[in-house]
Amino acid sequence: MKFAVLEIPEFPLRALLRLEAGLEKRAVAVVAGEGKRARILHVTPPALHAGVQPGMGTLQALAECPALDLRNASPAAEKEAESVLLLAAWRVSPRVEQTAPGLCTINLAGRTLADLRRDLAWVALQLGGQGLPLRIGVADTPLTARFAAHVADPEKWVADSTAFLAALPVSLLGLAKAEDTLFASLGLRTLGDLARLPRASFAQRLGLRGDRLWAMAAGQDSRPLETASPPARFEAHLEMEHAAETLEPLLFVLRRFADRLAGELAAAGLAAESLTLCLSLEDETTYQRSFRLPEATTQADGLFGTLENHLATVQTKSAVVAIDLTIQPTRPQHRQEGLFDNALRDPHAFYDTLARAGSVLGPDRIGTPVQNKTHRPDSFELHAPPAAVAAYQPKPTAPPRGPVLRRLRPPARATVELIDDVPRYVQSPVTDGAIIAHRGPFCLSGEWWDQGGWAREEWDIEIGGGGGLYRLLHAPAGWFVEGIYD
Amino acid sequence: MPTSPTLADLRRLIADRFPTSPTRDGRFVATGIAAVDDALGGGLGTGTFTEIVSSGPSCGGQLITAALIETTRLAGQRLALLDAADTFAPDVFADDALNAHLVWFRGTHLKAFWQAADIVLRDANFTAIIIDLRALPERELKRTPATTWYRLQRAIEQSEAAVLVHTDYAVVPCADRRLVLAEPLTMAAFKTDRHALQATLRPQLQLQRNHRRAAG
Repeated sequence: MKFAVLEIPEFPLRALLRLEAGLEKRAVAVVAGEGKRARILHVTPPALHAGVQPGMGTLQALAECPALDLRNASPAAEKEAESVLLLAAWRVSPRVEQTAPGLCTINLAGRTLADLRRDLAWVALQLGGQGLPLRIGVADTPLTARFAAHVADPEKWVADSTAFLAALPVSLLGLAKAEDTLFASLGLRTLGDLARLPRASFAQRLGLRGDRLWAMAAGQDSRPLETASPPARFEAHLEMEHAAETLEPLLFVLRRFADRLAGELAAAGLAAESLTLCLSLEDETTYQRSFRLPEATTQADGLFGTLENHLATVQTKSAVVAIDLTIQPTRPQHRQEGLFDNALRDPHAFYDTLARAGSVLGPDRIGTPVQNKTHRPDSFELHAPPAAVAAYQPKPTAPPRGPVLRRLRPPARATVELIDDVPRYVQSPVTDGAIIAHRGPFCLSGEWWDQGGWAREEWDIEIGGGGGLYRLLHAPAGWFVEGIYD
Repeated sequence: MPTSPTLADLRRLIADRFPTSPTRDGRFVATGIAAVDDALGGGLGTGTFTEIVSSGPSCGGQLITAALIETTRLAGQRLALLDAADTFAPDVFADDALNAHLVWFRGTHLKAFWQAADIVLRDANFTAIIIDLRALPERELKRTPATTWYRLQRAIEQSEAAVLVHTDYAVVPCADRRLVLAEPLTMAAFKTDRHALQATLRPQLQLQRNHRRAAG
C-alpha cells in the first residue's frame, strides 16, 4: 500500500466547532448557498435531534428548530483546521498533498506497516483531541485511498483494490447529471460494472472523460502528488462570529492557535522567540502587544501561558472581533549551562510570575538591581532577571563594614539643631531626639562638569535612648533623614 | 474549664490514630548568621513563614537580609525580596554581582503588594523569599486580614519556598517561628566588619510551632 488519505468528515462544521467553545452542544447548522437557494450542509447532533436534516432549505430547518444557529462556512476556521490536518499528516511522511478542503493524501513510500499503524493511530488521536475526527483510507493509489477514507469507519485498509472498488457506487466518481443519467440507462451502478467494460471501447464512445472515469473505476489512476510545503510564516488569524466580550472565548481560540503553531514550529525544526498578539476591537481600534519569551520554545503550554497571563490583566474598551497571532521563529538554542550556574527550575513560570506581578506593581518596579557607574547615591537600574546566573566569583574588595542602610524614598524632611556646626538634635516624622553621637560630615559631589551636577553632605547619627542610627542628608533644599541603619 | 469526656475521647482517638501532627520534610535555608540559624533550629524552614520582629530601629534586621542575600547567592539559589515600603538599598554590597540572583519587587501600595506577594509566593523558582513590612504604617498593616496570611501560607506549602517576614511588631498569625531583635546597634557598629557585626546579633525565639521534624 502506497498512499493514505486523511479525511475530516463534515469539514466546514468541524472547523467551526473547533474554534468556538460549547458550540457542539447547541443546534448549529452550516449553510451552503445564499437566499432561497441556501441549503443545510451539516448539522450538530442537537440540531439533528430537533429534526434538521442536511439538504433542507433554511426556512424549513428553522421551522423544525426555531433556535437553530445558522452559520456560513468560515474560510479562516477551515484554513486553521487544514493547517492542523497537514501538520498531523507530516508526522507520517513529508510527502503530503492538500488534496481538498479537509482532505490530504500522503505518499507512504518507505514506511513499514507496523510504524504506519502506530503513526496513523497517533494522528487520529491528536486530531480527535482537537475536535477533528478523522477517517483514514490506505490503498495502492491516491484515488482508491480517497474512496477508502470515504467509507472508512474510522479506518479502511484496502488490500485488494479491484474487489474493494467493484462494490462502490459510481456516484463516487463525481459524475455530471448527464453522465449519471447515461450510466443509469446503461445499467452501470457500481465501479465494478464500469471496470468490466472494455476500456478502449468505452473511451471511444465517451472520449477522454470516459477513459479517465474507467481508469478511476479500475483503480488505475495513479498520479504524482503535489506536495505541500511547511509554512514559512507562523501566523494565525480568526474573525469571531460573535464579538468576544469576555476572556474565555479568546483563550479558547488562542489555545488552538498555540497548539497548531507550536506543532508547525517543531515540524520546521524551529522554536518561538517572540509572540505578537493583535486584537481587533469593535470600535475599529486595535490592541497589540509583543512578548519576548524567556527562552526559545516549541511548547504550546509556554506560548499559551504567556498570552493567558497577559490577557488576564487586560481590559479593552470594546469587544474583540478578530484575533491575530504571529510567532517570530528562531533556531532552538542548544547550549550547555555552566556546572555551577543557577538556572531556573521553570523559566516560563518564572517570567510569567514577573509579568503578572509587574502588571500589579508596575513593570518598572521589578527586577534585579544593577548599580550605575556613578558615585551618586541610590543610582541604580532594575534589569530583567536572567534565566541563568553564573556562579559567584569573589572579587578582591575590602569587606563591608557597619550596619546596612534602609533608604527612605523619598527622604523625610527634618529640622536639625546645630551646635558648632554639628547636628545635636533632630526632629522628623521618622525620629525625634537628641543626637548623642555622630560621624561626618561626608561631603560628596559629582557630575559637576555636567548639568546634572550634584553635591551633598551626609552625617551618620545616633539618637539617644536606643533611638537608632540614621543618615542625615544636608542638601541645598534643607535637612532630611535619608535612611535608617539597621 | 474541665474538658468534656466526649472531647477528651475524641482527642485521645486522634492522638492514637495520628501519633504526631503533620510533619514537614525538615529542610532549611540557612541565613548565614549562626545565632539566627541556631535559634531557628537550622535556618528558615521551607514552606513556612519565619517572622523576625525588629522591636526598635537599628536592631539588625537588615543585616539578616544582607546575610541571606549573600548566602543564597553563594549557594546558587534564587531570592525574591518583596519590599513593601521600598526601603532596600541595592548598594548594600560593594560587589554588584552578589545581587545577581535577587529579584526585587518594590511595593507601591499595600493592596497591590499583597496581590504581587500572592503571585510570587506560588513560584517554585525561588528558594527563599523575604517579605519586608517594616516602616509601613501600623494602622494600614493591621487592616490586612488574617485570611491573607493563611492564603499565602497555602501558597508556600506548594512552592516550598522559605519565607522570611520582617516586621516592626508581630503580625503573622501563621508564622512557624518568630524571632525578636531587641538590642539596638550603636555608633560603634560603623567600625565593625559586617560579618562580625552579624555575629553579634542576639535574636530571641518568641514562637515555635511544634510540627517540624528535626532537621536531617
